[in-house]
This record gives sequence, C-alpha cells and structure tokens, in this order.
Amino acid sequence: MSDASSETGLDLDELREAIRCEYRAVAKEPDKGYHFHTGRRLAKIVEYRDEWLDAVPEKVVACFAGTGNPFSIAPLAPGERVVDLGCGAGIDSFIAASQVGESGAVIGLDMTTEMTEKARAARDEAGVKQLDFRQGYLESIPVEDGWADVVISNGALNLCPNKASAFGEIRRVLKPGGRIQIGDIMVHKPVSDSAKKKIDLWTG
Amino acid sequence: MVEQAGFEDFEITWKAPVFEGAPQSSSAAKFGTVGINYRARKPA
Repeated sequence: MSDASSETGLDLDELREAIRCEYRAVAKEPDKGYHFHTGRRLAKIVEYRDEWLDAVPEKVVACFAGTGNPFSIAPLAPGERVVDLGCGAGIDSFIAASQVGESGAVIGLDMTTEMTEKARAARDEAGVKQLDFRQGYLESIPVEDGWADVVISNGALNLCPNKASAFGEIRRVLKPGGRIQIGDIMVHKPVSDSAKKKIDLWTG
Repeated sequence: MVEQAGFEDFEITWKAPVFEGAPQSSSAAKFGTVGINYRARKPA
C-alpha cells in the first residue's frame, strides 16, 4: 500500500479515477444534474458576489462545483501569489487573478485532464497573464517551497485520501506567515471505517 | 488535522447546508454534511 492510500485503506488509483470520472462529467455536461449544485445557482448559495463572477468566463462559472467561499474569509491583496487546489475549470483561480492583479500570480491545480484543459482554454481566451493551470495531486503540489502568500481550495480537500500529506504540502508551498482560506465540507455524524472504504460515498 | 499539520489561528468562519435541494440525492443528509469555510495561518 502506498503512503498516499494508507489513511483509508482504499485503492488510491481506483478512488482517484472515480473522482476524475465524476468531474470529467461536470466538465463536459455541467448542467446535467448531480448530487451537488453547480454553476451560478451554487455560486448564489455560497454567497459569491456578482462583481467577482464578472471576472470569470461563463463556461467556467457553469462548471463551478465547490462547497464554500474562500473569498468571503478575506479578500486577496494586489501582488499576492496564490495556489488554488482542486481548481476544476478555474472559477476561484479567475477570481483570485482579478483580485491580485497583474503584479500577482495564481496557480490552479487539478488532477482531472478535462478540467485543466477547459481552464487553460478559458485563460488563453480571456488573456489573463497572471494565471497558470497545472495538473497534479494535492499530495504532491507542483509548486516550489515557500512560493505562496495564500492557498485557497473549495470542495477538494474532502476528496483527498491522504489529508495529512496534502496539508504537509500546503505548509511547504506557503511562505512563513502565509494563510489558507478554504471551502470544504464537515460531517456532523460519525462515519464508520467501513463507510470510509466505500468509493461511492466519496463521490456521492 | 489543520492544527496537527502545524497551522495556527484555525477558525471555521461559515457553515451552510450546500447540498440541500441538489438535483440528485446524495449521502450528505445521512451524514449531516454541510459546506464550511475555514482559515488558518502558517507560523511566521
């Protein structure tokens, strides 16, 4: 068993493929109807401001599948460097890029090829120079040590099978004094070990 | 988990039933799952 699967005992490749399958579908058919809300309806639920969404291409907004609102915690400052973990099609990366401006930089990271391709195409079309999208895993963030002022994420860390590794990586890429602003989920009822091993519960 | 990873000033700032009314049923209600926002800081 690899270290990355040891927290749950799940087959890491199988879990990741199940998650990719779910979000590949969102990238291709965002309005299909899932066990979570998507797009502008979801953005309203999690209290995104209309002016933030003005900075985001509509096809990117349509793929929004987060669970919270990293920007309601605190605004990002001009010139800051930001990493967006599990960025999907890039809604939060685009908002972050608009807040940090051209003197800042944003790196969006996602493991799903279709999401990353969609994000890069939208970035190229919009001409946002301070925005970069990379493909990879939260347990091995392709960003240099101490690069980021802020790490944001929205609905992705709960899908990460080895959260200790992911938080270790977040700490590594942050500057001393750097902050995390994260949207995620919390469960109020106990989840049994057997339930944690059911992949369909991770994705649904 | 966040504090165990060496972060400080951890705070949950918001909670909401973000899965309520989703197009497909999910396990969210069974486990009392809600959306949250939280923040923390790497020590300087």
